[in-house]
Amino acid sequence: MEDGFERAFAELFGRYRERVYAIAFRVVGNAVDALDVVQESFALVFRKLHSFRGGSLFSTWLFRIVVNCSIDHRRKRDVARSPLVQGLSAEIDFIDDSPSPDQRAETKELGHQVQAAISLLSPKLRAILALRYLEDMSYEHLAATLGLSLGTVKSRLARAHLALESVVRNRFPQLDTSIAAPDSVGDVG
Amino acid sequence: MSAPENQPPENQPRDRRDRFSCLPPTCRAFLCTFADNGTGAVDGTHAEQCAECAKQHSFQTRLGSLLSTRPISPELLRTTQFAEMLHERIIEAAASSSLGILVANRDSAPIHSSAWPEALLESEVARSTISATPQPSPAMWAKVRHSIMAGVSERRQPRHWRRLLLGITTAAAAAIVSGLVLSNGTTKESTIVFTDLDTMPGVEFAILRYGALR
Repeated sequence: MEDGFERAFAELFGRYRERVYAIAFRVVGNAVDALDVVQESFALVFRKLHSFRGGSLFSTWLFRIVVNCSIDHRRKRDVARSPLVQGLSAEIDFIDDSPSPDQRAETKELGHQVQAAISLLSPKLRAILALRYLEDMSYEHLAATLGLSLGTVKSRLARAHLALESVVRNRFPQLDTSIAAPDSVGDVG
Repeated sequence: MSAPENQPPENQPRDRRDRFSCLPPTCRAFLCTFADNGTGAVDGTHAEQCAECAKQHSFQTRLGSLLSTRPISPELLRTTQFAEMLHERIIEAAASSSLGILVANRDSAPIHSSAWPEALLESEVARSTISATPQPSPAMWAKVRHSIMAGVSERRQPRHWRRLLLGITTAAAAAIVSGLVLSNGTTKESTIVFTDLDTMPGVEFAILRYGALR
């Protein structure tokens, strides 16, 4: 049984750790807390594994746990971090395939600003943006993952977009300028 | 957007209104639809008529690529050390869980299925661990015994008092009866008086010749 556990642990952790980290990072806003959330989430997954019925995708179940852990994490942020994570720098980077170093630096800077803007939203709005964009989830998949109705998912996502647009326009005008491009109404649809 | 943002609908309390709630239904429907890229059900006509919605759509389209850019995870996440630390955490959590504690204590005391959390009873491990013949614990039996003895003692006390009361009553009755008997036994000495029958004597008398008292 122990051997089976070892293999299951290695398989699941290896397959999902990066995706779990990315979602947690979007919600909690920094690398140190995101690593804590990764640990909490996987610990909870293995503790509750017997309750997973297979009625949904494993990833749907897993990401729901990650989102809940991320939101809960803010409430108990005062709890001492593990020594291994304590010394970690909160400096972050973003995956970028741009050819030139200048472009990569620009992407990194924009990534920082986007993350800073997202951090000003409520945890629920951050979570839905993270799942929608990082995991490219459809409305139906979002509804299943977050345990919400389709209508609530649509309105919450729209609220998140509006709130983010407001934050960027008011607090990060340089980001607004960077991503602004001549766009015609005809592009819609 | 078509509606002024500072004029919320009147039927909603002020503290619950946000920018989205203030929009007219057509704008809300448009913003709810276009975020789901897969549906392709975006109302382009509305965007042509509503400059703010078109601007919002354009902003989201451009920001989408940045939102989709995954942050690079720290090297620590990919180290064996991190995985081992997580592994230990899972093992520790399992050991301190109700299942872990029950399994650890299995040798010292048999476990009855009623002592198990309901959620755990579904697992194979739990089923194989549950004792088939549950035994009452000594402490529980001592409590039961004490309770029985207390009940017996309570019943014994009234019975004692009843007997004492009965004894006293009997003794009193015996005393009264014997008193009566003794008092009935004391008779006055009879006196014989001879008198003339022409006049009635002033006491009870009997004429022996005729028999009974008159």
